Amino acid sequence: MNLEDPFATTLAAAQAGAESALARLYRDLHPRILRYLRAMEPGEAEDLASEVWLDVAAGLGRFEGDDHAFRAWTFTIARRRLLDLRRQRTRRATSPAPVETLVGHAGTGDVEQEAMATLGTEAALARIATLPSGQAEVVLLRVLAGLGVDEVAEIMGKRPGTVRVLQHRALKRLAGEIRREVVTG
Amino acid sequence: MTPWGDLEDEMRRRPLDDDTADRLLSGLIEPDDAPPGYTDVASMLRAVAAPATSEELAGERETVAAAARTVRIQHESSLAPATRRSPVRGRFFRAKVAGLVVAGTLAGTTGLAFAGVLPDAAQNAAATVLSKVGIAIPATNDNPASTGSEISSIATTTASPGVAKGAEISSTASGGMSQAGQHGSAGGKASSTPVPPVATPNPGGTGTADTASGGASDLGTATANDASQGHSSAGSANATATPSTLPTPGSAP
Repeated sequence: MNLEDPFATTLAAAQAGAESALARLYRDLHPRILRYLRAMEPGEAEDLASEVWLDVAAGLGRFEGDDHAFRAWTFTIARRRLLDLRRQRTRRATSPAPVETLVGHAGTGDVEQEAMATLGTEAALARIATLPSGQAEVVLLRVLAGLGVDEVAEIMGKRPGTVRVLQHRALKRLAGEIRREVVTG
Repeated sequence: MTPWGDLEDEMRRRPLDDDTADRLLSGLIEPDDAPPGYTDVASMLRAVAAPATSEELAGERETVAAAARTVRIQHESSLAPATRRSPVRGRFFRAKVAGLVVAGTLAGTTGLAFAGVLPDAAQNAAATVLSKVGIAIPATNDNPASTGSEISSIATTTASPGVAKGAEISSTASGGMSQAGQHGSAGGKASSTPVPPVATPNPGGTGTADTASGGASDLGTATANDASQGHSSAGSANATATPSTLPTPGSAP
């Protein structure tokens, strides 16, 4: 263990059960996990995120790696929890309401500037949630977990080329939707 | 042509390449530096990765406390088996015990084999095995305790003539190793020359065979005696009581 590495120090303390170290990990990662789950499964995000942390705690002693690997591992757990939930029920995730809120706020004055100003985190997540599931997940894992194409491909069980296609389509679609809303708003 | 129409034309002329898409998703492109038509997307992606809000961290205390409990339980359970008994240590201990049992059994068996007190089959097996590693131990007792009664039976029930009976007794007593009587010519002497009475009561097969063979069976008698380790005397003594052409002890002077 490299004691000069802040993450390594925090991880070692967290693995011994130190609440302060676990809190540091939580503050860094929980908002990202929660946002990922809110976009993917809005109604269950809070409960799922809590279960993710219990899973993380249960496996923490065996974890080895840097902060990047830790993020990838944590999001792998979050995705597994998500899939477990979806397997347990058949209904499709519903789109959250903030999409309409976003459109409602986006049509006055300098439309482009106003749209940008009102794009809060929740609204942005709601926008991404309207994408096809695979595209949304690629964008969320890349932005929230800070993972590269290869890592996202591994987590999602897809080929890197497929992930590149998905992210390209997602960005293009988002750009087109925002543009249409501003024009029609 | 509207500004939006110009933008769409520009977007068609300069489609989003992979590198730009990667940099957008990594937050490396400022909204103002984004390609035409992607300024809002860049802003939106930044909003997704914005700093945490207090609402998002509202459950920190409970979640962290629960996580800490889980970590400690896992930590303790991972240590507990090592303090009680590790599987590796347990296997080693069992192997040591098994080794000691085997070694003790071998040592005990070898000792008993040297003493020659094992049952016949075990004694022979031990002799065979130990002889392969250069250790000599006696094999099965060649003169079982039943030999005496067997000889007694021969001496009292067989109607063999003196020399033949003596040889039979000697042979039985010595486990077949005696040649007593086989070298002698007692029969011949008996038929041509009267055999003088035996001077002394026969102490055993030796005397009988000696007398019967007129001294010619010394070697065989001695061999019988040696080979039978003295057991032949019982049979020989009994032989004196059987009807025989040989003089009985009672006829001796």
